[in-house]
Amino acid sequence: MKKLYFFSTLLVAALAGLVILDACNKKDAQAAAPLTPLQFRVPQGFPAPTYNFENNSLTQEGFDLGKKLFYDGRLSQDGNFPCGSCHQQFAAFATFDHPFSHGFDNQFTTRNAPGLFNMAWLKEMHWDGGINHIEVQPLAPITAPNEMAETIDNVIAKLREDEDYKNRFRRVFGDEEINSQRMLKALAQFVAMLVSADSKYDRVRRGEQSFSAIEQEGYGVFQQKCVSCHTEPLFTDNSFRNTGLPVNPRLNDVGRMAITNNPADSLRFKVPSLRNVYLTFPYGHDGRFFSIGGVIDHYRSNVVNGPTTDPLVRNGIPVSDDEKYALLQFLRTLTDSTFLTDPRFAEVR
Amino acid sequence: MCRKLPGLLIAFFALLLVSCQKELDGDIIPGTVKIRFEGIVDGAQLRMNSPYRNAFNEDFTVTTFKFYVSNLTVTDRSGNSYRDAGYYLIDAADAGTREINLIPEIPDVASISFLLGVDSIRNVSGAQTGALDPANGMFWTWNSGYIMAKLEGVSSFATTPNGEFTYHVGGFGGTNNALKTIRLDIAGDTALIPNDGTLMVVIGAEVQRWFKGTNDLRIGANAFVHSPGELARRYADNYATMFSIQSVNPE
Repeated sequence: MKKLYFFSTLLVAALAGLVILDACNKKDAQAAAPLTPLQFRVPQGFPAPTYNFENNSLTQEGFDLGKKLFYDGRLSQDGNFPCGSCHQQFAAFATFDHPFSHGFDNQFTTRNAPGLFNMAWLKEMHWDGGINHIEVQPLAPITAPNEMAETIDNVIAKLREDEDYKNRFRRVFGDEEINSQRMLKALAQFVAMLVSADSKYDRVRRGEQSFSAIEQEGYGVFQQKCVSCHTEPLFTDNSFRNTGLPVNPRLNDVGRMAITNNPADSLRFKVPSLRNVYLTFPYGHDGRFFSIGGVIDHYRSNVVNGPTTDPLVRNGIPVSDDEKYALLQFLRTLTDSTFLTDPRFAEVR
Repeated sequence: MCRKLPGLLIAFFALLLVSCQKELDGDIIPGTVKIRFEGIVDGAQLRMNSPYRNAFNEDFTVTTFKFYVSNLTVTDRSGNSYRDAGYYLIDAADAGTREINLIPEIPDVASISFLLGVDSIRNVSGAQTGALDPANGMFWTWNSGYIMAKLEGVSSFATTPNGEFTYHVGGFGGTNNALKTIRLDIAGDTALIPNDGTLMVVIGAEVQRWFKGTNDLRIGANAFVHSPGELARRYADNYATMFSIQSVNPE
């Protein structure tokens, strides 16, 4: 009787162990289920990207988590300012129709929100190049008191309380840990995938379409007068230049010099990409130009010369009225409707 | 299965006992070097919010004193060294952050060196975690890069509206690189690390050196520094001399 009792206890203990083992394996199996790799395609004729996903394995699940974060108002203090509130897909992820963007508590940003596309090719981000890596960029708007006005700790705490985020983080990263690094890497997967390379200009380059006569003429003007700074195919050389804009005394924005402390960088700002330019108005680091024609007029006759004004614009850029008109028609061809309406990048409602 | 089960269980437990026994038999177990950083003012332990005076007779209290330690290397008297790959955020107010345990597998410690700060590569490598998590408040969000060392407090000589001084020293490249390599030699040549024991090394960080070192940096002249540049580098030049070995003893 004692022998039977002893072996029964052992049996129950062993079976209990097996059940626990099996349950553990199931959870691990869930976390370890293979993710769906996504391919980052380098468009024909584009240079090699700066960001390479080496330490951030690009997957559909990672991308989807990043997208959810991008459109989630909880990354802001009062829930009203997700990334997507200033970076609107229909405006090529710039802020439509605003020189500055709305932030927490009726405040405004102090610089014009750039469109988000082809970020994987950037070395520095922001008009003054203060951000040195795509993964750490979101920290700036999230913690800026006049933008999303949150703390990293609070954001992470909110994510940790959400069942859906817990499941997604476990799926993407293998365990339950939610921290700033994982959040930022997920966001980087989404943002880096925002590639714009299917405008009419791109299709012409690929031989699929042709420019109209006036567009072709405008392209010629562009290659003559604009391409040194707005270099194809990214339509920027990513350099920092002073384009002779008179200083706005209310902002006194010295641009790149605030980052490098180098007087040679005074009033220098990053050359923006002209892709989707018809959607990203107003223009300039402070959004002072509401039309592209206004920008061209600035280069034609309103450049203010100072010690750091770029030699390429110092004497103005002569553009006749006819050339200006043709240039505007060419710049229209940089609108990438595929990108603007791509459901992969759209907010899921 | 049922018939085999008791046998399997007995075999399992027997194995356990055997492997435990193996651990108890002696190979020589290398000792630990425990490095503890202490904030000190005028040679005595730093007390947060306590009143002090600096070399310029300016009153001050300390409310925050934090710094990064990385690339810790211990070297023995024969020149063999062990380098630790960790990044540590030492917070003078938090005893839990102040000790670093190393198992260097060298017989003695003749000198210790480390980088005060986060090396340049980590400053440009994107999102980091652990001690390097930006949630620790030691990463500039608008000018990507780490704050190598932070000293904050209150002084009647601070020209800020709330009387606070806030020195956030960073900058990892160019002329105003604030990264400092610190090297400390053990007095009396070297100290033995006891086998299967711990050698405790206490390193003091003298707050007064922030104000008076290679440079005279009065609170009245500068109540804050929040970006890389010449002023930040001058603070770094000063605090590079703040470390000294307070004691070396087997624990």
